[in-house]
Amino acid sequence: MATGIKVSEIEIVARVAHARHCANFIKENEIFVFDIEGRLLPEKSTANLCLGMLARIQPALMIAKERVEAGLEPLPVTVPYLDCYDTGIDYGGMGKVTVNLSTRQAE
Amino acid sequence: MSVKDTEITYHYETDYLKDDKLTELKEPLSKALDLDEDDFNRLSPEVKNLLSGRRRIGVTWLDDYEVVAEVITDEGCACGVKIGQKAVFDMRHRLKPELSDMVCCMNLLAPVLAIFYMSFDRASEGLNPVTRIWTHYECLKTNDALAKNKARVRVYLRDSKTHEVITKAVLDKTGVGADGNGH
Repeated sequence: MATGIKVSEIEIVARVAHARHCANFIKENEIFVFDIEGRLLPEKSTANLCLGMLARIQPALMIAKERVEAGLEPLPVTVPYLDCYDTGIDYGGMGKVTVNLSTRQAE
Repeated sequence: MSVKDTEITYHYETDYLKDDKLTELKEPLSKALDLDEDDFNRLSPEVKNLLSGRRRIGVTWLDDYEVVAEVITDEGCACGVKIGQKAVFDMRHRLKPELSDMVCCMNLLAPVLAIFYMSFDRASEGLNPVTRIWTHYECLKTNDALAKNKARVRVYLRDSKTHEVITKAVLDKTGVGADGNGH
């Protein structure tokens, strides 16, 4: 568990691990930042706020909140990646963005 | 009664752009999205239709309009969402925080993505990009009130410059109809 960090100060960070042909021009290492209540923090985010990526992250935010309430680490230890709803150029779509989830203490 | 093969209409027959080279889009799109010749040539009929909205409702349609999700109920919401507050998206489904005054609760906003699944499809047919049917969305959290109390939004299209609400059913500027032949 994020030792010594107040629950209210936990932020979930989704950092772009890979981006290809993204029509919303999301680039690697850009981030989306959320509070533990599942609210996007636009002022702390550097990526274009594409709902096709954000909506995919939403279930993970609910899980993080649940785990914190249970006294666990916010994020599960299983694969920390999530990819956007665009199916990519070879499968009827255009681009594909993948993010890596982590936590940090709010500044 | 038997049905002749020619009377059966499959959805994919409306993919009338499958042989379209999208010539006018090739250069700017390839440059913007880092597509090489092979990438561009293997664009699917589906994504060609997605891109064709510009031919029907204007080259700049993605910049001409915005989608607004306005809060209509807030009872039971613990995230601070209030009635009358708005989240504004561009037509590329990107949140515009500078025009939004609601906290960006993903439990409420994630379902709005459905609007944009429909918007590109509708634009490619020359229709108002925002559906006339699926206009209400609600928070994904189910509380002890058994879903009676929820934050909800109503979604509509507006002009990005004047903020006039656009309710006109058809925005087609070509008159060619949904199948490209006047129908």
